[in-house]
Amino acid sequence: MAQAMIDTQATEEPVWLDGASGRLFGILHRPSSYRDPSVFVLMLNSGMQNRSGPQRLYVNAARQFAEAGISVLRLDLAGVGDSLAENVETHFDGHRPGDVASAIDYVVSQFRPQALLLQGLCAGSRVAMKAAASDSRVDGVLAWSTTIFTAAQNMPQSPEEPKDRLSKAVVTRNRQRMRDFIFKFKLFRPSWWKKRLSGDKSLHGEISEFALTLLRLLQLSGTSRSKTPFFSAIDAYLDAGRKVIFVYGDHDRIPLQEFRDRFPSISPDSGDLQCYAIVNNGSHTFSSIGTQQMAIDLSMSWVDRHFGETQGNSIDSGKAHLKHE
Amino acid sequence: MSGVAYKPLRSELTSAQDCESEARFIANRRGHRLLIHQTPAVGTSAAIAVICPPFSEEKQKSYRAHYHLARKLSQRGISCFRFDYAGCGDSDGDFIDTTIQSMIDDACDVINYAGNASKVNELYVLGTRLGGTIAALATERLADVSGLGLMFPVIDGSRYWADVLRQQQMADLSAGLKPAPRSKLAQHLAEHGSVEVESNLVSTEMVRQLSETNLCRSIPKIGCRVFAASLQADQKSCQELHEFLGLLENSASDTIEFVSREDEFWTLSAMYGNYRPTDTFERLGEWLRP
Repeated sequence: MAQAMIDTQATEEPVWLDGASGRLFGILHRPSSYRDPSVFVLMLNSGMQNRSGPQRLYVNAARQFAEAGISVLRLDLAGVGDSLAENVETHFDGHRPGDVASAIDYVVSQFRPQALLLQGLCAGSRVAMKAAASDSRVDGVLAWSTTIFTAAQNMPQSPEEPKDRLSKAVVTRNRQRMRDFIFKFKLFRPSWWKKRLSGDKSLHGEISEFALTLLRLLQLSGTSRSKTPFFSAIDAYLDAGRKVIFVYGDHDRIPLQEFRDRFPSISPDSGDLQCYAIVNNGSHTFSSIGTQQMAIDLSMSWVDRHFGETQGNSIDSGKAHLKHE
Repeated sequence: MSGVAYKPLRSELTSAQDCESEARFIANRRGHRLLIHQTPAVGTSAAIAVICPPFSEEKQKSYRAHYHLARKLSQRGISCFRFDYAGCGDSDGDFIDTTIQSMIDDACDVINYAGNASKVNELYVLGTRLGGTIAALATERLADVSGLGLMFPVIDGSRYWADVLRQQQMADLSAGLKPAPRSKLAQHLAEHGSVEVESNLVSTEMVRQLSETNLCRSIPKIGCRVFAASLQADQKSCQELHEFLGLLENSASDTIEFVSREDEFWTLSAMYGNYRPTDTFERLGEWLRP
């Protein structure tokens, strides 16, 4: 891979486009050295967080992509950020693939990229997979922290989440919690009993928690056979041999374990056409500077490997190269 | 309106077809590009309002609520400006260079820009949380501000900084990470000149300025009407805001104090619940344009 000069003159400008649900807003990043053929990344909101992303992750990623010669559009989907289109669905399947299709129309008609990639985190990743599966113009997906069965903390439940059964990963976690509750943290601690028996703390909450955990233990694992619109899309995308990298933080345990359980054939080698990569100490939103950078580097390295030729050998993934060395 | 005339970096505004919103970058006094969103007034514009956003992730989590506030005010004939401070959101710059002073400067630059870009004489400065504090401190530096609207402002910066660190620890815990004790964060700040909070490198200077910010001790001279909202559930903040309002030099009749029974709208659960403090926004709108 030839090393290009870092482009510090990349431009950013606000854009509006017509989505299936109404007017959508975004920030367009164009490298000053823009030329055809080119790679274009369309970034899709992480849940209800606007186009800046959690902890400004999308801004940092887009600026580094643009510095490496890749155009980026950070889009606000319906109901998010500054888009005029509304959407009351706030769960991880709330984003509408139709809006993504409209954005793809816009990008293709305005910029005619040689390779178009979709990127998203959590809910953004799910809608990216759904949109990519039904649109042959999408050449690859950067799927960050893709939720598989179970919603991230604080998110409302999706209609596509299994209601009567839990994933194997969640059941395993609940059993671990129960073991911790009984043996490690609470019941065998004299201080725990002292507080409750002296009346400083109510036993009621603890009993409720214990009962709830017991109930959860009774729920069975059985989600792997679920066939939802998301799984139909992702299975079709993978079966067609199309390009995707899944990136997870190793502390994002439930989605990562559910991903491994559901897609055992996907390679952990971040160089493969379909692969997944792990960010050490990474949380669901890569909530530290170091893990943010690692998620960006891993993605850029993968783009470099699979789309570097499309870009005319002009992707400067210097940091990613350093990592490989 | 005093101050420098700012020109958009792009000659054409980027606007939605139905003219409900316009976005552009302007250059601040340090040459950083700040992203501005203007929601024009529906019908004839009678006034303009600039909304100073909260700090860091509180801004992200309350973003859509502020979008709706701007639209609500536009329907009352108020043209609304929202922006990102340098080092935040879509604006240029790195957070490590962001300080209370730079935030005040950015707010002043945007207010001046808004004032110059509009022909109306009525200009309101609004702010939420730390943005409320910035709004108050910016208003002190500007002439011709018609009113100051404070939504749940931070009165005591040092207490707020302690809260930010506590929330960082909670966020680490919920993300499965081991939170660093506050003493260790303070030590890191002293040794390295910065500390990482919510993926932002916060500088020693920012922490110093934030810790020295206390609206009840260094009372800004505000000669305009004031609307101030606090949350009933947060008694300490209610008391602080009440004390602050009592210390202002403007007459009591120019001040509206509203104690809201609503919930915080700058949290993750509020964002996923599409929660907005409709009572506070309604009262603020009535105060701006009765």
